[in-house]
Amino acid sequence: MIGPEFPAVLGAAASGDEEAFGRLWHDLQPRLLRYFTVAAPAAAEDLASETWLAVVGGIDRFRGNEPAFRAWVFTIARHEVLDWHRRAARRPSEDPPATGQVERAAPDDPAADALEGLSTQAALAVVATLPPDQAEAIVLRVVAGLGVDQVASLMGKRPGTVRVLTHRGLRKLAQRLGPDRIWGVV
Amino acid sequence: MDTDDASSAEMRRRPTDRDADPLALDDETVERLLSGELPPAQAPPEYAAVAALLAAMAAAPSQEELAGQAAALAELRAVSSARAVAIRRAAKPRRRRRVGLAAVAVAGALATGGVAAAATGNLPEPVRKATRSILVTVGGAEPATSDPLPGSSARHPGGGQPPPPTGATVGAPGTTGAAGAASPNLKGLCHAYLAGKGAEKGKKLDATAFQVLARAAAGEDKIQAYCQRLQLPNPEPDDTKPKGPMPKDQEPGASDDPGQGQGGPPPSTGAGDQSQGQGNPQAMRSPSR
Repeated sequence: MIGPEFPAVLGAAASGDEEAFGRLWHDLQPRLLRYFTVAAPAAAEDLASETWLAVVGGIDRFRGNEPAFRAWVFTIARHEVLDWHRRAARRPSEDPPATGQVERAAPDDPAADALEGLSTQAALAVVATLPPDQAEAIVLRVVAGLGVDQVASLMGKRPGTVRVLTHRGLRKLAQRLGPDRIWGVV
Repeated sequence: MDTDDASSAEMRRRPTDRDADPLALDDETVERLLSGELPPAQAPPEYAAVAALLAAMAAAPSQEELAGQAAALAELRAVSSARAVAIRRAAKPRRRRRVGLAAVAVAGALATGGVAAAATGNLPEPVRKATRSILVTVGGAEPATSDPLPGSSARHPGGGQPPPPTGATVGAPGTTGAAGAASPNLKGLCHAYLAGKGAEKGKKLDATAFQVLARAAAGEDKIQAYCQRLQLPNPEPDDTKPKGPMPKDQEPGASDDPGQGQGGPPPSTGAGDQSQGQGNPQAMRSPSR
């Protein structure tokens, strides 16, 4: 979050101030990478670059506050993901798109990783084992920091549907990471 | 009965009954988990690990994630300057003229909108820069205490004269009619706004001018009606004056450097006082599609 300075930072970035643009990048690039890690893991870096190119192309036409800006950037990011999957589907020699369908190599591995370091990457790997729309809804809520309504319009679903998706996803995560397996007595 | 059987049997019961279903979640708990307000120690025991996982997902950026910043910004700089050159080359004279018109209107609004303080350096740099470049574009005054743009004085038609106060250049403050009447600057902005056609409306004006109008009209969607009302003849004695705030010889762009007023930065919204509402639904869409 950039906070109260956001309007000034956005205005400066839109008029070509590289330092201001750097602040936007610094705030959003890690979030974008994490989103792509779950949604299109093989192409996270490339899709982040593509997203920023689109942001540069449109930032001077953007109007809105910080949450709206974030939603806009992630709307672009999601289009990049959809395009990437479309392209991947047309390339028969490559592996089919595997969004969120990464099977756990061994049943306990991601959970064990989560137990050890709870690294961001391990956490994302666990979330990526959820059905894709559940994983995406959770990542957009938690990593992108978007509200239910923003996620709903971004995913083209109703807010109630997004609530159900996140609810189910959290529930599945709890089943996989049950308290007796990781945390013992809390 | 092993534990898997037990939990699947429990899942078949009413999901909101915590006694029957230890994994039941109410909406508030979901929200608190997602927003990180529920640390693992305070989460329901069954969700402690989930809370830890979500916290790890939202953890502070790592060095790796930020490693490419310099390269990424360099690439974006190259792309945007290439794009600016392309835009300048593609620009048609007619387009430049209209941008100039909007710039005059913006300068007028800035001059009497309290933003004349730009001349004293009280405003954030982006706004000062924007004001300066607009005034230079108009061919009028340059704020006295600002750093002059390189070569700007050579571009002034009246190069040797001391710059008049910014307010006098285009805005003519004080000629406003009775209380409640729109200032000449709003009329100028409206003129620029209405000069656009159809879908181009609004895009004509940069963010600052658009916000000024939106505020005056009490809503972005009311600008059209507001401006049409303003353009109607009314009994105000000053009514005709503001319609011609820009004598032909002040019109920029005709003989100017092709980039002037086109490639320059739009005025920043840096004052930060305009309402930052929902965001423009247009802008919510991806610009590349």
